[in-house]
Amino acid sequence: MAAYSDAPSKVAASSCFHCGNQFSYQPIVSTLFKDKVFCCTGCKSVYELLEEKGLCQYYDLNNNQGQSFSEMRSDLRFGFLDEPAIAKSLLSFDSAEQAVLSFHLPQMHCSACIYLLENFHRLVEGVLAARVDFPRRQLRLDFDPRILSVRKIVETLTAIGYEPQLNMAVNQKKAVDKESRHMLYRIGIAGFCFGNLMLLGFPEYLAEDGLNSPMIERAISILNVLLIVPVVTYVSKDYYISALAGLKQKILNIDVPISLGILALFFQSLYETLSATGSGYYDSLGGLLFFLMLGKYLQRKTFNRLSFEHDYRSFFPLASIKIVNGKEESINITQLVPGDYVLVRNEEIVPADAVLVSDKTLMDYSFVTGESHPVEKFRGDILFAGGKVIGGAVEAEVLKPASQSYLTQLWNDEAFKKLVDQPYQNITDRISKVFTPLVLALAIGGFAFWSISSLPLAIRVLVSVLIIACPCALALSAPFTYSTMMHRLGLQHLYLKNPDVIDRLTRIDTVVLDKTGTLTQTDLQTIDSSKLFLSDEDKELVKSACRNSTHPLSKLLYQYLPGNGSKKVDLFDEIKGRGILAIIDGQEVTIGSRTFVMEGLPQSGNPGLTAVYIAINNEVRGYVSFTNAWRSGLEEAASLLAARYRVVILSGDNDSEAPRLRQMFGTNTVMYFNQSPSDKLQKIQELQAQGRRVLMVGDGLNDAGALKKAEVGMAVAEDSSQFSPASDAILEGAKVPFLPVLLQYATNSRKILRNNLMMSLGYNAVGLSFALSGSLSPLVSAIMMPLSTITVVSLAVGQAHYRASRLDASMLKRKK
Amino acid sequence: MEIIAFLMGVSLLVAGFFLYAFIKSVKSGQYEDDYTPSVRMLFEDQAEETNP
Repeated sequence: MAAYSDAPSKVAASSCFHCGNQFSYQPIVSTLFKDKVFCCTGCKSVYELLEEKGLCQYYDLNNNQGQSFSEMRSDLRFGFLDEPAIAKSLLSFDSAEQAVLSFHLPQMHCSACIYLLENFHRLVEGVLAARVDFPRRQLRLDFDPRILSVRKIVETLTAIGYEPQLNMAVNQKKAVDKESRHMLYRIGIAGFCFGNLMLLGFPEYLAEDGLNSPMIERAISILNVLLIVPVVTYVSKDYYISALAGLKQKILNIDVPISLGILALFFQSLYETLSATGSGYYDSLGGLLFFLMLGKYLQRKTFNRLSFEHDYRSFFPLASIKIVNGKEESINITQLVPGDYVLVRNEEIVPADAVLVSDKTLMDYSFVTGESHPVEKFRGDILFAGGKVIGGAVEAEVLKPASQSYLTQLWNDEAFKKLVDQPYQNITDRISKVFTPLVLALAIGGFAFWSISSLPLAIRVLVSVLIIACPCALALSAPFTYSTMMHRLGLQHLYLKNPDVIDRLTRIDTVVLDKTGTLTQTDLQTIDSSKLFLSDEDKELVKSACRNSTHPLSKLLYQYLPGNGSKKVDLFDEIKGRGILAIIDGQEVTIGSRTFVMEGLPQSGNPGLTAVYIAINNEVRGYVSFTNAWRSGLEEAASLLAARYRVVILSGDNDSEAPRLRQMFGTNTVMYFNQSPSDKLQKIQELQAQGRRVLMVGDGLNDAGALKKAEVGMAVAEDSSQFSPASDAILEGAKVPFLPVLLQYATNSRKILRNNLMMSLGYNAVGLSFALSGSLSPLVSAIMMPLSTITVVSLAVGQAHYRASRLDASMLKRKK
Repeated sequence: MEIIAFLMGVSLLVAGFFLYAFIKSVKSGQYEDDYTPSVRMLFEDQAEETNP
C-alpha cells in the first residue's frame, strides 16, 4: 500500500474530471491530457480509454456523472469465470461464433451510462452489440467467444465502474413476461373494438327514426356482433375463470357480478339485434371492458429494476474456490460437498457452513444475524454460511452442502413454503362480499315483482339490474388510486411490489422493527469516549499501538484518536480474541476486551457494551464504546409510530441498547434481543395469532422469514440496488425515519377509496332506479356507464396526487 | 347513404391496420422497455461507426 504510507500532500479541493468526487490531495494529472485532473488512476484510465475511442460525448450528457472507479481488489476475484461450466451457465445463447449474455448492473443511473454501455462494442474488441434495458438495469451483450472470454468482459465492465452482479440467482433464466403481453393484446383488442363500436353507434343515436336504409342497418348489426365477440370471449376470459374459481370455493368475488354484467349486456344486445327490437349495448360493453383492462394493467405495475423475490441464492456468490491437492479450483457453490476444503478471501461470503481450518479470522455476521460487530473465530470454530470474512484469506472445511446450511434452511422450512399461496382479499373483494349478494337479491326481487304482470318486462328488469349494477367503478377505483399512490411513494424511495401492498398497509396495527441496519446505520459508528481519561501524550501512545493492529475496532480507534500515531513501538503483541499489548517509550500499553485489560484488577464497566478498554502501565484509564449510529430523526419517528401503532422490536443483537430504545419508543414497546431468524418468524406468528396485522421492517437475511410471514414485509436497503431479502416493499435506509408519514400515504388512500365508493354507490342507486322501473334504455346506459367510469378514474388519480403532494410537503417541513 | 357503408369499411380497415401494428410491436418486445429508446435516440451517431 504505497499510497497509504506516504501521506498525500494537502492542496485545495479539486474535483475529479471523471467521477466528479471532491478530493483534497495532490491530483493525478493525465500525461496525455494535461488540463484534466483525476482523483485516482482508475478514473484517469477510464477517461483516457474513452478519449482514445472517441466516446467523450459521455461527459456532455450529464455533468460529472462517471462511476467512481472501484479499485480492483484482485483480478483473482473473477478467476472462477475461466471455469467453462460456470462461464457457460451465464450465457443465454451459445454457438461457435456468437454468444449472448445478460448482466444486471445496478450502478447504471443516467443517460450517460446508457451511452457508454451501448458503445461497449467500441471499447472492447470482440463485442458485437450491446443493448441496455434501463428500467431493469440490464445489459445484453452479443460477443464472439473466439476473441473474448466472459472473464474479460466482466473485468472490463468492473474497470469502467459497472461491476456485474454475479450470484447464484443469475443461473435462473428468466422467461418472457407472457402475462403482461397478453394484457397488452387485450387492451389493444378492447380498444379497437370499443372505438369502432362507438363509431357504428353514432348513426343510430343521431338518426331519430332509424337509418331509412335496411341494408346499412343490417351491416351495422352484423359488424356490431362481429366486433363484440372477441371482447366477450378473449378479452373477458379471465373474469369468467376467476368468477367460476370463486364459486367453486363458495366465494362471491367481485368477478361474479362483473361476469354476470358482461354476459347480461351481451345476450341482451344479441337478443335485441336478432329480434330487431333495439340496437343493443355494444358500445357500452366495449368501453366497459376497455377501462377494466386498463385498470388490470395498472394493477400489475411494479418497479422493474427491483426484485422483490430475492432468496438466499441472490446473496451467495456464484462460485467458490475449492482446494484440491494444494491447488485452487473454482467450483459452483451447489457442487460443494461436505469434506471439501474451500478458500474464502477478504470480504467474501462463506458459501456453506464450514469448520475453520486456518488459525483465526474475523467474521461479519451483521447481515445474517443482526450482530452489529465482527466476531473472532478460531481454528475448529464453525463458520455459518452467509458470514463475511474480514482480514486475510482463510481455509475452511465444508460441513453441509450450501442448500442445507443454517441460513438456507429457513427457505426450506415447511412454514415458509405454505406462505406462498396465501390468497389475499383486498378491499374490493371485501366489499363485493356484501355487494354481490345484494345485487343478486335485487335482480331476483325485481324479476319476481314484475313477473306477476309481464314476463318479458321481468326479464328486461333482471337484465337491466345486472347491467347497471356491474361494479366497474368499484373494480376500477382501487387499481387507479393504489397505482397512483405507489408511484408517489416510489418518488419518496419506498418501492412497493404491487399496488395491493397499499391496501394491506392500510390495515396493519402493529409495527415490528429490526434494530441493526434498520434503526441503525451499519456503515456509521458512533464512538463514545466519555469514559476514557487520557492525556494528549497518552493518546499518542494508544494511537501508535493501534496502528499495528488489524482488528476493526483498533482501526476505528486509530481513526478516532487525534495525533499522528507515529511513535516507535518497541514491542507489539496481539493476543487473539483478547487485545493488544505494546511497549512504547518504556510504557506498557494494553488495549482490548474488558477481561483482558482488567485481568487481576477490580472489574468495572458494563459487560454488554461493545467497548475497548485501555490501560497504561497496568492502570485502567477507562474505555471507549462503539455503537452503530441511529438514523437521524429517529426519535420523532419513534414517538409517532409508538403513538399510532403497537411497536415491537426484534433484534438479533445483544441488549446493550435497550435503555436508549426504551427512551425513544416509550414504555409500551416490547423488545426482544438475541433473536435467531426462526425466533423472529415465530414472534410474528404469535402476534398474528393474537389477531394482530403486522408490518415487519428489517434488512438482513435473518429477517427474511419474518418479512415473508408478516402481512407486509418491508426490506430496508442502503440503496435500492443492494441485495435485499424477499419482501413486499423496499425502503431506502435514509427514509426509515419518515416511516410514519409514508404509512400515512396508505391510510390516505383508504379515504380516497371511501369517497369513490360513496360516489359509485350513488351512481348505482340512480341507475338501479331506472333499471328496476324497467325503463333503462341503451342510450341512458351508453351515457351513464362511461361517465361513471371516467369520473371514478379521474377522481381517484386526482385525489391521490393531491393528498400525496400534501404529505410530500409535510415531509419537507420535517427535514428542515 | 351508401357512402356510410363505404366509410365503415375504410375505417375498419384503418383501425385494423393499427391493431395489427400494435400487436406486432408488443410481440417484438417494444413494451418491455419503455424508457431506454427515448434516451438512445438522443445520442449523436458517430461517423466512423460501422454497424455490426
